[in-house]
Amino acid sequence: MPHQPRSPDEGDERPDDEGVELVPLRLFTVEGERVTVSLPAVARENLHLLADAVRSALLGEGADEERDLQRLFPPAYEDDERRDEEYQRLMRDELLAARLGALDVFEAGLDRGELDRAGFDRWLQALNTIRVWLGTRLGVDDDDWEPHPDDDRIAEIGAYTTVGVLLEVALATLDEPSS
Amino acid sequence: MRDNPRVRLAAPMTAPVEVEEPDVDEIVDVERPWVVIVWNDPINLMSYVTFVLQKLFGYSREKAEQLMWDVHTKGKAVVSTGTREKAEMDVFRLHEHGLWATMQQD
Repeated sequence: MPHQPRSPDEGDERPDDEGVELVPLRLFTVEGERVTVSLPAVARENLHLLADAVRSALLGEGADEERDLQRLFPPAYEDDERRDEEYQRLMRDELLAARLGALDVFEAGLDRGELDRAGFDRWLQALNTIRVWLGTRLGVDDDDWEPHPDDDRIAEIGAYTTVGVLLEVALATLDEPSS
Repeated sequence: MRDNPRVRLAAPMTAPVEVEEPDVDEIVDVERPWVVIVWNDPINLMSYVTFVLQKLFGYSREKAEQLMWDVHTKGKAVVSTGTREKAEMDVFRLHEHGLWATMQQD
């Protein structure tokens, strides 16, 4: 698992630094059972594009989709091919439906800017699906993975990082005391 | 006891019957619990794995973090045990959340 980004208050204290008082950017707010998602328009637009791309891949409409989807349909029985084939036969469609359903909740949440707690859990699930799909496409194979300097997939690399940060911020919000 | 006209007693069987001996290994296999394993992977965030383990299994934050840490440092952790049906359901829910999970008999 990759390490979490270090929070600003961990180390790096610079006594001479007078500091800058920044206005906190509240991307998510939890009030009881209600979660508000306040993302800038450009972020929402890009997340819609990513959700569309993952949906197309799940539905087999993209190129190389099988390779990109390996991580989203992993084996259940690692050492028992016969049982795993049976498991995949019974469960793959259900898993596909669950992923597509979570993407629908994700996009509706982006547009409405508000979800209940159960909906937000599915929102996070879909956000993680996007990250797993991007990570698989980029070939992330190590906790300390970094893109090769010659890698020209700038947009996807940026999206992978951004989605990870967004997920961290959303999870941290859930840890805060509810308003 | 009054005779029940609907009950018919079977005639005693005198012919030899072949009795199928139960396969002892099979019985032992059925009784052995299944374990669900979450494997380390380079994409899922540590905080997300902790969140999923808390949500799916109702583990305390401390227990979920310990399991997450085992996954991260030892490469895997057993996150649940039970019957094959329960293990399949747990694996499905973990897959649904994007984690790399498999099951095997203990």
